[in-house]
Amino acid sequence: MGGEPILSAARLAKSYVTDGVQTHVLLGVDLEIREGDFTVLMGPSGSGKSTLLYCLSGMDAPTAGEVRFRGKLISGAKENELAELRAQSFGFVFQAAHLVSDLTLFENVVVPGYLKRGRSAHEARGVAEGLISRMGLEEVAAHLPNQSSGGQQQRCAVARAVVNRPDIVFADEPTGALNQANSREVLGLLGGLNAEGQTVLMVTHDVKSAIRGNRLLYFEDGAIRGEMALPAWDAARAEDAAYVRDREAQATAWLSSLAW
Amino acid sequence: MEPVRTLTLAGLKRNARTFAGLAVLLVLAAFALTFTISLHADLSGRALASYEETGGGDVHALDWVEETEGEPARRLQALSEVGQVRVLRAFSAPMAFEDAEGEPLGESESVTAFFEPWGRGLEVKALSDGFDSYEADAPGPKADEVYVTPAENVLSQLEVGDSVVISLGQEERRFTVAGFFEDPQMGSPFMGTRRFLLDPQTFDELLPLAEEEMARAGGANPFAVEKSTYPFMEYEVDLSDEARAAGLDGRDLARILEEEGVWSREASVFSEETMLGQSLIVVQVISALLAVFALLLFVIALTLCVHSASVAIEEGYADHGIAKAVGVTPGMLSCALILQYALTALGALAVGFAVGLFVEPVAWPPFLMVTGVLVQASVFPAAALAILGLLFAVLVCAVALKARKIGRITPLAALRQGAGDVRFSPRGSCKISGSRLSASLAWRAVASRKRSYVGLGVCALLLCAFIALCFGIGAAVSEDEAVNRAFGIWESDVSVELVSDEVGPEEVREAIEEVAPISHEWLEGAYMLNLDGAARTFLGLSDPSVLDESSLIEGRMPRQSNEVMVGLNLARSQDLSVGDELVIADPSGQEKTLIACGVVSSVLNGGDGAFLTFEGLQRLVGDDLEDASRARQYQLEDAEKADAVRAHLEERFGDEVDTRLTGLFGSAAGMILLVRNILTAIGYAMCAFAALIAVAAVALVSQRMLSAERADLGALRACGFKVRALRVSFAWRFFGVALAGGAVGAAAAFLGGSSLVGSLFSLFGAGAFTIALPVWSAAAVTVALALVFAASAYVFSRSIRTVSIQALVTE
Repeated sequence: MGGEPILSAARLAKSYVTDGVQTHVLLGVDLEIREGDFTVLMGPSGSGKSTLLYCLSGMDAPTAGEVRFRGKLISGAKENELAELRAQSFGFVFQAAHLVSDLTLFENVVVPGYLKRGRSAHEARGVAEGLISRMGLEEVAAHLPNQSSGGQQQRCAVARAVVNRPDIVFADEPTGALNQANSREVLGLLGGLNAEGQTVLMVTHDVKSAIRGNRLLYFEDGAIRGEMALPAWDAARAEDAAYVRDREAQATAWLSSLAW
Repeated sequence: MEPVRTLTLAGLKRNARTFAGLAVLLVLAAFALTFTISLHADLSGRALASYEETGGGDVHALDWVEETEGEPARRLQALSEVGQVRVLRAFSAPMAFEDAEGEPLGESESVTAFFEPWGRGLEVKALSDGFDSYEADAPGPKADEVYVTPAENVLSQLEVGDSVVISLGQEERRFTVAGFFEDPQMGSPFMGTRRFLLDPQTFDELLPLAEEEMARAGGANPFAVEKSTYPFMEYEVDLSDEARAAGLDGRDLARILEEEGVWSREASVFSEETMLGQSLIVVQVISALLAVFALLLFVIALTLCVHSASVAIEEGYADHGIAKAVGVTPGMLSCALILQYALTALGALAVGFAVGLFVEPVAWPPFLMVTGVLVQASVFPAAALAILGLLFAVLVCAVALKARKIGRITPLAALRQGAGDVRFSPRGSCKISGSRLSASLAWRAVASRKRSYVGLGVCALLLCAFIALCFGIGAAVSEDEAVNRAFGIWESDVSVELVSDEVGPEEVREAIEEVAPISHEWLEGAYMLNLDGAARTFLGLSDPSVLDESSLIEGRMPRQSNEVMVGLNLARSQDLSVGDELVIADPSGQEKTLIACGVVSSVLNGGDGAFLTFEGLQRLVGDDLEDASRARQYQLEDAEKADAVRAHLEERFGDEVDTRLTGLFGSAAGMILLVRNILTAIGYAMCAFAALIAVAAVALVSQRMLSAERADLGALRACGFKVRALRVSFAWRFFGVALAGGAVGAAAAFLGGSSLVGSLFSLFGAGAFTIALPVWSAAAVTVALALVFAASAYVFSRSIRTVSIQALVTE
């Protein structure tokens, strides 16, 4: 699986200076994210995987190296260009849902939808309604975030991330704050979207989450230390314990080989 | 108390910017209040002190020397209520002003002006040329010099080096203005009587001429507004110690002296309180305006303070819950919150108080021109301190009331991060459409947290109401015609006195209309009569319609000779309404009854004047108006042609007519200009101040909001919203709230402004003052204020740039 590279990093480096002490977080990372992949970035806490995600998504500027999106240099882009990228091409799902507190769940989805170029407000509402339905949020669409459960909020966050049919969805520990049932739901949604061609780059340290991907990267000490390919997740077999166990076993074995 | 101290300091540190904003508001409020109270105390204190220093009596009287010489003094001394009596001879004479080049200056005098010898009467102080200090060793006027009050500078632009030309019968004497002096009795341009000081020897030379002239004239009243020469006696009468101990004041003494028949019927009598009140009228009105403004600032500061405390409690739900979970008592938490606001307020009020004291002297020189007295030292404004103390207590109590909410927070709130306690309004707000995304997001934010915007709305309401009021007052006095309407006065464009019988009024009328059409022609005369011991102006008008109809508060203009239209304050003091009788003694002492036909809003005599028909005044005072009936006043369709008309009349009739302006309010232009300038300056200052308050209020509220909404803003940025779009949306919220609040405020000013200002201006008789606030102007003020709010919000929202999407990511 995997199409053309849409996001690439070359010699990506990031270092911080704290109290006069320089800390190197990324050490010249070279990476390509291919269209249609569900790439999972794994690694121990403090390894720098979130920093890599920030730099790849334009949230943070690298100290050195470059990031290109569809061949266009985005590292060092101006804020407005990045905002445009986020509105048109990138979607984000965070560990916490981070919904806008005074917008209903539906509005949280449709508002970014209005930013999509070439789409009418009517169309945006249609897409949002479709996503709300797909996420199983019809009953609570008119609720405010604080009137919804954590799982509903996170599903809404996923819908918001994909409302503009982004080229790539960045998900940073999207199930980190959820219980098992909600985690499964959210991962199922991301997997389902990927099955429809949505490129996903997810950061996680959870093997159960990681097996939803078809490409696993192991990140440690500022560099990618290993890569593993898995067959694409078969959503139809999500309830198949043997299928799940098998993927987990493959991933665990691979991680063990990398001294995880 | 250590936990409270720690919590207090932590709170102050955490919300430093909020407290700084609050402090700015409170500094401004305290400054305005201190400035106002201090200015009022200094001006009125100095006026009183100056009155005492110069030796002014509890009652000041001018009485006609010929009929009463020696008699009043004897009668006065016989009264137990009277202490010291000081008598001084003076004379009144027609005069004109010329500049250093000999060109006429100002307008011909139509008020009582009298001349006194330097050093024999009141112990006045000479002023420096810049009116900013006293001339310690002023030599006084030389033989050909005169000293005048600053009022002449205001009314006639008289300066050192200009000339005062006195006509004493056939003789004309020219005196150079050598300096100005402080006169707490007659120094205000609002007094109808004016004092000039001459060299004593020169005075002694001129007095016999004045006596001769009076003898030749055959005994008309020197206190009618006529251009005649008369000697008279000036009395300064003090209360006896016993009377003073019994609680009597100058007004009581004036009434007693009137009842005892001490004075002749022509005497002009003023109590100390009346004179000081007259000279401080503008101070009172301006102080009242400023005080209203200062209190308004405080209400805004208080509203925002309470709002801020409320938001702080809501934002700190989790923290308060955690603190409670670890054993901190609600009392400690409340105490810490109250202390944070109390310390901020205390510091800010102290700074505002100090700044107010420091800045207040800047206002002294302009007010010299209004009061006639120079303030050089400030009195410690204990009243301001007391009021600030009271306001401080109100503020602390208000915060303490809010702090009670802390008691209702449970440790559970900490576990929920306060989320469960956040209240949102349910649906009902507009849909968020794609086409006006920034505006609809703004509207949603406001609709969702209405309570957060109440303080801001109230702030906009109050500011807008006040600014609209300032604009309304400014517009009402912006043009001469508007001023005349607002203050119930009128001006003649051309005055013509028929000097010889060879020329008649018809010929004059024809001659004038050859140059410009006449809109009004009338005769006017004024006479001062005593009522309850105080002199009041009775004015006769052959055509009362020169007074704008809008000045009428009740009833109608006088039509019959026994009808009188009374000034607002006269109506109040005499409890007169339409149909009531006013009994007044005429110059011969005979009582005459007039019927009140109307109550008028006019500054004539500070609202204590009365209007009759010209025939009515003639009937009341008899022959004394003979001269007035020879002087006609004209208003032209085109006032610009007045000079051309005068030139034409002089060319046509030569010395047979006198075309110098003699209209009753002819010399009011300078005074009105002064009042207009002061009101305009204060209006602009207050508008600037209001804008500053708006900016401070927005800074305060927006900082809290941005801090509370950081996560939402980050989420929106992560969705692709540009910083500018978010800032615009943020500014929209403030624009909308300010527009709504401002509209209510402007509407309140529009509907109730005139009655509010009218009641304020009724202090000097202009009770029917109508602010000029057209709807477009009120709307413009509202929109302008909303734009100030929006622009401030846009500027202060620049911190949205620092909202990082990374902050949403949990490592």
